[in-house]
Amino acid sequence: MSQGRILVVDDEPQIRRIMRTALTGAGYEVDDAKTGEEALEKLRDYHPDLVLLDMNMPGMGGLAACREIRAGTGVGIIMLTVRNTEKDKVEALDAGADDFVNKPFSTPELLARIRAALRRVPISTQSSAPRIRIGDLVIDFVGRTVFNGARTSHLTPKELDLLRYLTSHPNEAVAHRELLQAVWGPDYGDQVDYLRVFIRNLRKKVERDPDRPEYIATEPWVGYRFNGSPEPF
Amino acid sequence: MNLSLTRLALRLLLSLAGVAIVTATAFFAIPHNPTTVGFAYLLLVLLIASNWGLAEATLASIAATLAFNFFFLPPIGKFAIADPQNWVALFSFLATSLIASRLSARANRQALDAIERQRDIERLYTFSRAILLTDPVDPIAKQLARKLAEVFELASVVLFDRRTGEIHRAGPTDFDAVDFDAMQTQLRDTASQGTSFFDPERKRVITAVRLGSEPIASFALQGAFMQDSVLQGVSNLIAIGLERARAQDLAHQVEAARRSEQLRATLIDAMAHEFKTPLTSIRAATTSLLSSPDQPVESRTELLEVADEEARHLQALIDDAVDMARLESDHDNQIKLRRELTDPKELVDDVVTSLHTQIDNRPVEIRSEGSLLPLPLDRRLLKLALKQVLDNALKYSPPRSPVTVRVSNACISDGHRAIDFEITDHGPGIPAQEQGRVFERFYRSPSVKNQIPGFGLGLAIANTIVHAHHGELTVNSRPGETTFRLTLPLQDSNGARP
Repeated sequence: MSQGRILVVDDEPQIRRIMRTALTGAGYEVDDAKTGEEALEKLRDYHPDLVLLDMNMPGMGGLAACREIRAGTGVGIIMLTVRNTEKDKVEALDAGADDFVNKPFSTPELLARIRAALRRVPISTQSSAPRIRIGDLVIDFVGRTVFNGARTSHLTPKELDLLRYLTSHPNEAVAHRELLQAVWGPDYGDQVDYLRVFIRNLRKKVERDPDRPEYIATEPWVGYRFNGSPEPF
Repeated sequence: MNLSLTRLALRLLLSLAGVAIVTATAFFAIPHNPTTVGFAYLLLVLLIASNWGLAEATLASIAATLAFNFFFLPPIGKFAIADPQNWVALFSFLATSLIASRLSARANRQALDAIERQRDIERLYTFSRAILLTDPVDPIAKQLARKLAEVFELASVVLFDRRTGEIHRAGPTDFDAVDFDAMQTQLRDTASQGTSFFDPERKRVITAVRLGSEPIASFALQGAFMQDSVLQGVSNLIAIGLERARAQDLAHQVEAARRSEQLRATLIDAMAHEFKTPLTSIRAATTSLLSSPDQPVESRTELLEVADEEARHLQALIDDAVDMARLESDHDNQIKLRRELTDPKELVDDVVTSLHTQIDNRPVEIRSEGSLLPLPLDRRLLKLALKQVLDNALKYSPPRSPVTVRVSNACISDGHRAIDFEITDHGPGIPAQEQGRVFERFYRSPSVKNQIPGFGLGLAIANTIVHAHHGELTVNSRPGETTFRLTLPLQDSNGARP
């Protein structure tokens, strides 16, 4: 029984070979692409649950591919790169990746990250409604969209999970660590910079003015708080 | 000197003539009285005094007094003064001539001064412009000395730049050796102490150039008098010129350092990427095997195979890096070649095999023509060179397009035999104006720079290696077909032609 479908995008044939073997061995269905362009083409028919995307590729490159994939779908994206700088991480996350793995990596670590990316937040009783509204804000958990009173935006799986977790604890400060572990899994907890990028992207979709957030407020030194009382809609 | 004397004599004569004309005009032509004639003489004296000088005016006033007395004052026709009023007339002529000539002399002197000052300012301006337009090739101090002599028309200029310790001479006159030695010492003293010397006998001045309070240079001028303010101006301009050149030097150094640092960072980044790629495969394979040892046999074999291949790839990368370091440490054409008899066809096969990852199922055709004899080559270096060229061909042509590697016997101009390696791809080609530059280190065509990763070293490396073998690397390119040709002359292992 397949654990999910993964599309491996890397210009290095050997890495594609290894990934195919290792991921198939772990129970995933695997397809691969050599370039970002080819990946975008394959996405149309293959419908993977997750894309493993190399950052440094000829042609359009990983970041541009990530942005394009993200613009069209809510598929999980993990970026792979040999560079390990703050700038690269932020760029990858900003482009819409859900996670970031440095090359060389160990297969068990990559598998754990894949599991985390594919993981969904368990739906608690309060937020089991398929749609909720908070004032003008409408969140559609089934359609994966948010309407902030002015426009409708698509949510990535991780953004949806974050929003689900925050709205299920309304008016309550949620610690960084708690949020990271709830959304990404027990191995996460220290990557506050990840969270910051995700919250920033989320605010762009949820808030009318992302610089003066109305719903997703920062609790200095603690975490984030969702303001408002969600009602089923 | 003679000229000015002649001019003075002429003016004196003209002054007398002027008096004679006034006298004659008044005496014969016009009805007159002594008062009008007196005024006419006065006017003449005033004119002469204001235009010429005291001598001419004095002569004119004496002549006028005598003529006035003789022709117009009673008793007419005699040098006698009956009326004391006539004394008044005489003294007023003399006083007028004195005062007017003094006034005019002063005005003249002031005008001359003003002209001189204007010239000084013009020269300073010309000199300041010259400072801005210095040529970056020559030392700035040398140019400053030359310009200074030229602009101020000095017999000799000697400039000592304290920072470089150099002394620059300019101007038409030379010094004798002893004098020059003494001057050098004086210049150094001046530059370190900030003092000045003035030698009126030789018309020579030595002064320090200061930047703020610190003396940074000194210069000696000979052959012209220069006012203090002008000297100060020159000194300041030299200070600015020297300081500007120093700042430029510094900026260039900083820029060069920054660029080489940037280049190094890019290289290290690219190298890290290059090395980490096989390492990633190896690590992913081994960790996969370690974490799940109970995989099916085919998976385990596949993982081990990739790990093994990539370990060899890593080995090849390290070999290449070592060879490149060898090229880097030697100068062009002085690379110590380790020649061994090499079969050219085998070499090409070897290169193609080692690039199988990059080739990735692309059609690469190897054609060998004629009977090829083994030749003495540095096998490793030549393999590196061919790899760079083939890798380039693969990189810069469409993903599934074919690449051809051709080995053949050839003839070079002087009838000696050679061997040609030709690598042809079907990419967009290299624009004609860039074909000369592709062998330059770090040159990358602007049209591909941002699309195809690389750091502009491959062809430069290949070129260096081919040259070390006394061969030639050339390119022939048009849209749709590009051929790089490595021509190696057949030589014995000592480098002499057989």
